[in-house]
Amino acid sequence: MYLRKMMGNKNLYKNIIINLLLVICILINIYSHFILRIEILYSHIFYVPIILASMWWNRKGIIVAIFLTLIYLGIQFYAPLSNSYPYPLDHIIRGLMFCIVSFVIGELSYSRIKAEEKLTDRTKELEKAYAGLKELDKTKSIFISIAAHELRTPLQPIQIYLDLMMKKRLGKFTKEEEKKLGHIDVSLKRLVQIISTLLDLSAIEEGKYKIRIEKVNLQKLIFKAINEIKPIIDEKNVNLSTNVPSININCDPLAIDRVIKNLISNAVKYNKEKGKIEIIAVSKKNQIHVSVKDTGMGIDEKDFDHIFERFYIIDDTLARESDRLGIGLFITKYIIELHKGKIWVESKKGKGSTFHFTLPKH
Amino acid sequence: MVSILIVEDARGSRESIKDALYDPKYKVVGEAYDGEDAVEKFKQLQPDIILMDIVLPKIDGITTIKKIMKLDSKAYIIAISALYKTEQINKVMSAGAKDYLTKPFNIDDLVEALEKGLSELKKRNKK
Repeated sequence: MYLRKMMGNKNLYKNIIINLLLVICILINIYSHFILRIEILYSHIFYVPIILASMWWNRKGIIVAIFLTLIYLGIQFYAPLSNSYPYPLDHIIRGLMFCIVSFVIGELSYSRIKAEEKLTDRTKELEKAYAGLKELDKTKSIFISIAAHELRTPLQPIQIYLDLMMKKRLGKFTKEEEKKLGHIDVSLKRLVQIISTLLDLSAIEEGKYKIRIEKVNLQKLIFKAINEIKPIIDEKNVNLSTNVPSININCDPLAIDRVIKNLISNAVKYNKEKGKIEIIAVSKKNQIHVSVKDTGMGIDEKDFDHIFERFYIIDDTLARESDRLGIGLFITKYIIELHKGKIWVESKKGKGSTFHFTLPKH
Repeated sequence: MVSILIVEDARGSRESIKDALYDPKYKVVGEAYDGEDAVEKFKQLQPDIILMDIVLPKIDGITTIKKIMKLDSKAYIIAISALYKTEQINKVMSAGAKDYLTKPFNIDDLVEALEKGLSELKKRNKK
């Protein structure tokens, strides 16, 4: 069982080699004495169990090594094996030296093995903790996905009845009441956007965000997105202009709808009251170039690389004032890159920003 | 006039969709609460368009679409669901749905999808 344990531990081989070298040294020693005085061979046989005992690789081995050495020394004192050898002190010194060497090797091996065992245990613990965290993260993503899905369902009748009220199908309202309905509409659209963002994020984290490419009219897609978040745009009195040609592109309409809405929402959110937003699309040889320009607070150059990172929020103070999660641009970039396109920003602090993205035509 | 069957287990959603179709050219001929009910109502009523929720009791929406498509491969089904992932939408579309509306949709989205279905049916009738 000991041997099996020893064979299972690669580090023990190094110590075995060290001890085997010691044994070889003894054998050479024995051999040289054998040439000179045959009787000494028997006394040296005691060295072997001492070394083997030290190879036990734990404190028990050291105790056995010391015990054997003491027996050896006892024999040397009371019944010397080689009467013809005139130097018993030589045996004593050698015995003590082997005892010390055995002790040091055994102790070092023991300490190292214990340290390695501790390290292995810690590594296993860390691996276990990491697996647990990963599982927890997966559960969190699934939970967000289910919760977001469950949140969308009850919003259906709210959306339709609000629509019916705004279309005056459920009676007439005063101007003040209509204004309040408008506030509900804006809040509902924001809520839907937040839920959609959470759903997108959980899908990305689960590795299940996929796109479904089909031929879509870009102008129609952009106008539809603008129309859907119009209450949010109107609330801030922002002037939005477009210059988008009626061209067909191959993309996932739902995903690109998210991109457009994210970029416009940001352009509204960070814009000044009565600011401007300009959406321009240009058809190039192999790609479509879309830009969303705003007259907002702008972005510092040092943040350019970070704004597309998950949960990155430029200004923490503003984060508390507006509905920011710090994941919109992360999702936007993810979607654009899934389409094999590129996204980047041009901005100057205090002078507005322009977000550009390209999509391959085919 | 277009005859419509609404398949939706949540009463609030079902009622709201019915109310959204106030235009007289749309006629809600029936309502179903689960997959089995939907198949039965489809057999009885033979609607032009089916508005089908996907997460349903007894038989889920995808299986229900497949069952209806077996009965009539030309059935025009518009899936309505809060399911959002492309993977899920792909499954719904490959089962036989012709269009997909993500909840919460507004009346304009619903009307647009119905109009698309209507023109598709007209094209089919001409042939």
